[in-house]
Amino acid sequence: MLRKLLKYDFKANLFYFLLMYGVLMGIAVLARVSIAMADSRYLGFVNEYTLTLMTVAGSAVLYLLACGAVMILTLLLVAMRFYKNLMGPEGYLSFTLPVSEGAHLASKMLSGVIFLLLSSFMIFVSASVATAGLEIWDGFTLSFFRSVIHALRMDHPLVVILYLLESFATVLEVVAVIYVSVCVGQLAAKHRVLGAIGIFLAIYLVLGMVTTLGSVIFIRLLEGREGTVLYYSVTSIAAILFRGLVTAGSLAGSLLLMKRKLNLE
Amino acid sequence: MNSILECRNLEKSYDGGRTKALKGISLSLGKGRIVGLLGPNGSGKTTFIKLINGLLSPDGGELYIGGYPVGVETKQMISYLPEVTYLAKSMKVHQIISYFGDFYRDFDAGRAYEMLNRLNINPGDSLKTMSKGTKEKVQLIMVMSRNADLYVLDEPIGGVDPAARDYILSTIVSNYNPESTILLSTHLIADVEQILDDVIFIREGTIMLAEPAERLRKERGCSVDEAFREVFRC
Repeated sequence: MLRKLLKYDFKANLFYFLLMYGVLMGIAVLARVSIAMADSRYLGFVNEYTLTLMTVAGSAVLYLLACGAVMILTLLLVAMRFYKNLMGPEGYLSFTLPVSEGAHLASKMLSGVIFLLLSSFMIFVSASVATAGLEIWDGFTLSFFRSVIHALRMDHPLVVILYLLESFATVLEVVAVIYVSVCVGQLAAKHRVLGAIGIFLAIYLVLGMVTTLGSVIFIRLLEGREGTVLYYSVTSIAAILFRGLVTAGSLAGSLLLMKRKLNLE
Repeated sequence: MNSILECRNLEKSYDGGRTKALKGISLSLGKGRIVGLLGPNGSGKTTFIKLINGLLSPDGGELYIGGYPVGVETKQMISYLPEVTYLAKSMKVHQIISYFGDFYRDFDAGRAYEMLNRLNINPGDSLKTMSKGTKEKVQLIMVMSRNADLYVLDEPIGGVDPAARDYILSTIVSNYNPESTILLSTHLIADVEQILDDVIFIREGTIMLAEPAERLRKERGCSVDEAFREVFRC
């Protein structure tokens, strides 16, 4: 049944995601073409340097805005699918299918995480398109990039693996927190969406405070070891465990509310 | 086992226990019966139906469908028509048929297409292009195209015109398996009276009466509609 639920969860939003990725790629191509044209010798009516600077800056801003919009829209689409399919009128059908609440949650979790990872991948692909053939890796940029890599100890495989795991744990956490926020929001008689947004912000406010406190503790505990592989490994592992805990708590809360406190419109 | 549904001392409250929607109801629904769940608005009909379908959890008591507590097994046995339109508006009718076919092993797609054809509803049409009445008919067709053990229909004729009511009632009667049970909630008694085998009167979360329609008519010397008006007189 999970496979069938996943099929419909993907189909429901596929059109919007394809449209969004198409627009992102279009903007990436536009940015690359603008830069190429500004760099050419055909536009002689404005000071060449000013025009190049304006075009490159304009294209870069537009492209970065598009990347931000893709991530925000991905989160919105994931949240809306959960809300509409389970907590709105469609919930009368979803929750009367011969499927457990756990399977519903697993399907939404998997599809949400996959769409978030897909959006991140598409941003990476579009960045490659926007900068294709450009000589951005000159001596200065390259040495700056290498110094950042070294400072964060990303030249060590263990640290790289832990960073990747931490990123994945963050994606899981965001999706799980969105779902538990929607589940808590639906308990209200009115303004359920506003309630869900409020819960989401409140959870991240608390998480932010806990993370800051945790960082201070770790800085104290690892005093004198800053910048080492040990320092980044320990902080990454702590972050992965913490995010895992938040994810597990959010999923358990969502499941409990879906089973015991469903309050469909 | 001759009953499809059994409940004992079933309770449900809202607002942290301040509003008691069901006050410990106990009843049994026999197999192969058309049962009218009759009561005024706010009597607890929809709450009872939501409990049967697992959309709400009881605060107390027991509820079994086909011998199972409410869960995945019982959802396979029940075909439920809620008051609201629960189909995604973006879906086309043939996609809805595939959806039901994917999840319900007792869904008969051939029967669904036959009913759609009789009503001149194009399976290629999207739900968002349809009138409210047509959407309700599509939803009823999906529900009645299942070979379920228990059909639970919440106010199926509540918001439609008299001609559509006749169609809905004839669809219900002509498409259900005689071994199955239909639990039909409504406050429009006169329209459904002729098809009911049993009646349940519910008021303020309490069962006032539960007996065969024929016996009720004989004992009281009046129609179910008249008996309802007498019991629920304001």
